[in-house]
Amino acid sequence: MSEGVRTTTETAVRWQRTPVMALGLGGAVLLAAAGVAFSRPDLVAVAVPLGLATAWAIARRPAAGILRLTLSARFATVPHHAVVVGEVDAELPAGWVQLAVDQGGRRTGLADPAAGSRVLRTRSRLRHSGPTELIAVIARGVDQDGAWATDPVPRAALVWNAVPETVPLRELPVALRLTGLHGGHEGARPGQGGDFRDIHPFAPGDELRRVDWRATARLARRPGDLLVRRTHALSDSTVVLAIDTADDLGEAVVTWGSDDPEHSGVTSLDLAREAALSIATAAVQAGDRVAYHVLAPDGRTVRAGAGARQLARLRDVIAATGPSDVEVRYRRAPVIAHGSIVFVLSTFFDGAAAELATRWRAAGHAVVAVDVLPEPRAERLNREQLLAMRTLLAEREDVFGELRVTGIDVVPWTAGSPDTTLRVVARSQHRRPGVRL
Amino acid sequence: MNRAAKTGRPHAYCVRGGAPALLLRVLLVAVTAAGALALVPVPLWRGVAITAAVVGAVVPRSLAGWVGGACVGLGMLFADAHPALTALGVLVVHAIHVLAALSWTVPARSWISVRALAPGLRRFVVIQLVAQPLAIGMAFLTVPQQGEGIAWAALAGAAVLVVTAAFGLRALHRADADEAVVHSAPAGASRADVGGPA
Repeated sequence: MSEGVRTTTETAVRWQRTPVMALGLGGAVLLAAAGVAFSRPDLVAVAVPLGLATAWAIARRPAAGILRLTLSARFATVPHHAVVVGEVDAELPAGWVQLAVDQGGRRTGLADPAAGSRVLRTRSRLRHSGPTELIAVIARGVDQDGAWATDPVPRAALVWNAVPETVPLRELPVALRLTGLHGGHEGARPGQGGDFRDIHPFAPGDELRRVDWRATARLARRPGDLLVRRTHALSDSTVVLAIDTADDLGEAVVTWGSDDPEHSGVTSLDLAREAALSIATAAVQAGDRVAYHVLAPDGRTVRAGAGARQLARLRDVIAATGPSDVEVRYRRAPVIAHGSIVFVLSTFFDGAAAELATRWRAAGHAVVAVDVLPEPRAERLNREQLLAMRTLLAEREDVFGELRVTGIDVVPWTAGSPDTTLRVVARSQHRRPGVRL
Repeated sequence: MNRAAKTGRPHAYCVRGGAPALLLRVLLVAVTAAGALALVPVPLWRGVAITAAVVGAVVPRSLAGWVGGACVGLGMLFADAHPALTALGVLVVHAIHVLAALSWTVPARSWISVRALAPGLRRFVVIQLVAQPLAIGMAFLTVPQQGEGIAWAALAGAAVLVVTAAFGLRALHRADADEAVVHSAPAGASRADVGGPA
């Protein structure tokens, strides 16, 4: 996301007195009473400012009004770092504003600025792609040195969707059965645009310009026979990206299960977003149609489309894809169009994504399982945790073994170059029996 | 502009023209201690005032800051009245009240903008400009007088005090009972003001 984002909330506030006024009045009465009782006018004089301050606070009660909070953020140009700067405007007719400031989902501090524009500036160095709660504030108004205060207004938050980096991919595997007469992939049917297919006797419907006169002279059996030179049709492939958002596991295994994005290192969803955008970019550049599905029960879907606008739409949706809030093993199974290649991006820990991949493969789709688990780091794990991690990873290897047996290619996104691995998968498609490219 | 968090952290924020709110609490203790040392001649009373200020600074919800202010004010009873001390007392006790109120309101970890404190400072100055001449006038009453004049003054003072306290309490009750009228957003800002009650 290169352009800025902004959100505004308006809340009606009413002022309530705090104990400060009662304490001021009580102090004034106490000191004045002591002065009167002990015949000390100087003590009465000491009580006078307390009484005046209380009277002032009562007389100048702030009027009820609207507390308007505007949160905005934009990219900062800092070399080698993804830095986002934010601003908070807090408009209130009276007094100052108390803000509880959350950044990245955690409380980072408190602020008491005077009401106005740009009362608070924030700066966040993004460690992860995807949606991040950049700034959130809970505010209340304060006036007359704390004698009047409003109730806290509902939390206002600004979410920043960080677009992942992309890895250039030169070649992608394609669907097993290409459809259509447009696109960038050479299909099995005769048509236009592709390489030489065969020499064929002229039939009604063939264009005269396709008559191969040399072949006709050499091979025609009877006078009047004509032979045409036929080429392959260029077909398009539909790429379906299915992203599993059930887990968001970082490099540091010790942070698994704890919501600690600061120490987790690169997470599985970081890699999944990067892989999804890289594949989508490569596919759109190759002229393919791309569809996008988040496998969570409440996940988003982008219907298949091609072109720069589809890529821009996909970029926004991928950047907004975060971990699923629904704690269920169930994944929704989106409908996959005939003749698609499905990239399933998952950590493949609980088997649900693998089950879906297997089902799609059984339905005749080409399926590539993209393993987005980052290289696990086992530091600070005790013996039991280490054993549990090894067991989990061993189970995952079993899942990958079963996927390979069913004809699903497994591509680890972290190990080596994903471009090379995908090219190997694409080339191996050509050697498989029954594949009609 | 002050940076509230170190730049090494992934998140930081700045309050324009901000200062740590802890300063308010330090000021509360400092003003109470200075007032106690200058105005209260009894060491035990001084100690109580300063201890109360420290407790008030650490736990503002205990309201001990005001206890410290009361100790300083009442501690003046142990010393002879003097116009300069009276003026100082008027200044210090008022300052303790304001600082205790700010400490009660503003969390210690917060950053407060100096601009937010400016209206309070103006109010403080205005009240002092009214209270100090009154204090000087009252200081002349401390000159020993004979006869019925001072007795009538005491009675009148007590009556005024009772009436003032009664009015003050009534005003506080009315402040609690007042129905706040919520105004709609200014027309043109939200473009959703239909003129009805918000």
